Amino acid sequence: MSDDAVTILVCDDDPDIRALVTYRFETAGYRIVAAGDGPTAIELAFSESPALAVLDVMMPGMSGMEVTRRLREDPRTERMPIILLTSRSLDKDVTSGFDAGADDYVTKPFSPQELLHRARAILGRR
Amino acid sequence: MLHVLAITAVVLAAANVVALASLIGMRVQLRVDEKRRAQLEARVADSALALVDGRSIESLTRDEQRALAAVLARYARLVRGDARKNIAAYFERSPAYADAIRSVTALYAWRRASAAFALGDMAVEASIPALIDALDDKDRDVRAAATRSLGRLGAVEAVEALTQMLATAAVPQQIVATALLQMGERALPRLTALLATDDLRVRASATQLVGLLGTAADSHELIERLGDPAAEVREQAAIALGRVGVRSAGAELLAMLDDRVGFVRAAAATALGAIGDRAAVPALVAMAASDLFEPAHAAAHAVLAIDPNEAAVVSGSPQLDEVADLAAVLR
Repeated sequence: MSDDAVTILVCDDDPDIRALVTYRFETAGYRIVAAGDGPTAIELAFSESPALAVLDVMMPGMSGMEVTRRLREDPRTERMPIILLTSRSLDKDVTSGFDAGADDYVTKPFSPQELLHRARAILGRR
Repeated sequence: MLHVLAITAVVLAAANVVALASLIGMRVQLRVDEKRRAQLEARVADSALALVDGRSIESLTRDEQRALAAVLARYARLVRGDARKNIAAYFERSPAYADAIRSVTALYAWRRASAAFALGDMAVEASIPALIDALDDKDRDVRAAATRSLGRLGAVEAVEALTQMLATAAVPQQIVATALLQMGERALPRLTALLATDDLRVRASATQLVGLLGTAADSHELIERLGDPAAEVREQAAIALGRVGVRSAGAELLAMLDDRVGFVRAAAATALGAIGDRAAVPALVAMAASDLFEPAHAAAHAVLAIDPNEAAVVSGSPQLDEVADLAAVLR
């Protein structure tokens, strides 16, 4: 991985999902900063200035929706693209995610390759 | 006498010490095993991720292969698409899969159940026939494990057998329903075909499942079931129509308010409330004022769901008074 690799923030309380996402993105040349909970994700978002965040919705404590809202409220991260990783696929849940400020969502079980493609598509538009 | 009691006390104390020591020993052994398993899983982590990504890996020891199988089984629950296919491709050639296929017909029920459960996380479609056979196992745990695994594998060819299990409660109903729901709309054609089967329990279960998985496009088949000779099927058809939310079924559901069976009338009333059919309000108010407790309760709450303003001014039965109070609170 080169020093100027694009940084992606991954936040999920499940270490297996963090490992799967991290591996797929790192092998594609991205630099990953990973968090297991919402507050850590927010800290990393402010300190590492990632180009994109992949956030789990259902996390104990602070949900991915709440993390999204907080990131949108801060000028440092208000424009950072966010993909929500969720086991929910009901229309109202998807709508809630977009209302909170997410740019896209992927439902679990997920395809790591599809997640990478979606991330690339969003980064390409910016 | 005193001597005998003293000896007994010493023997019991010694037995206690031995039991305590063996419990501590077992606990320590469990911790050691757990630590060793975690170390092995950490050692094969990169190999597992490489396999999920479709890359080849170096050969592993037997213990490492077991750890790899455990990690991949966890990953199989999290991923779909090519990643899941890569996991299946690994397992198909692995000793773990061969062992599970052998063990699903083993002598001991716990081995059969463990194998049936494990097969669901290996993602190998070739295991589906063995799992369908396991649905006839004499042990309930084996049947439940096979049901769960068929759902994980999305085995639509098992829809008929699973609906039968749901109808006969051969497996906890939640497990069967979850398995069928995991298959999603791909299960619908087979479920719809079961709506006309002779066994009324299967018809009722299939109707319920079409309501859970289907959309407004399936309403025609559900409306037909409103005329079923079995009250359980008519009830499930009404509930299903309420769930898929078809307003065009309003007239047929309205007619069901005169069904001879109370729980069918209750289901029809609830469905009318769910689809928000205003034309049904007068009939629902009349039903809430005069019917038996359960249908009257359902009718009153349907009025509340359709028109809270109307519900706030109705009276004439305890059920209507209750929804009038509720409507006042909701205003």
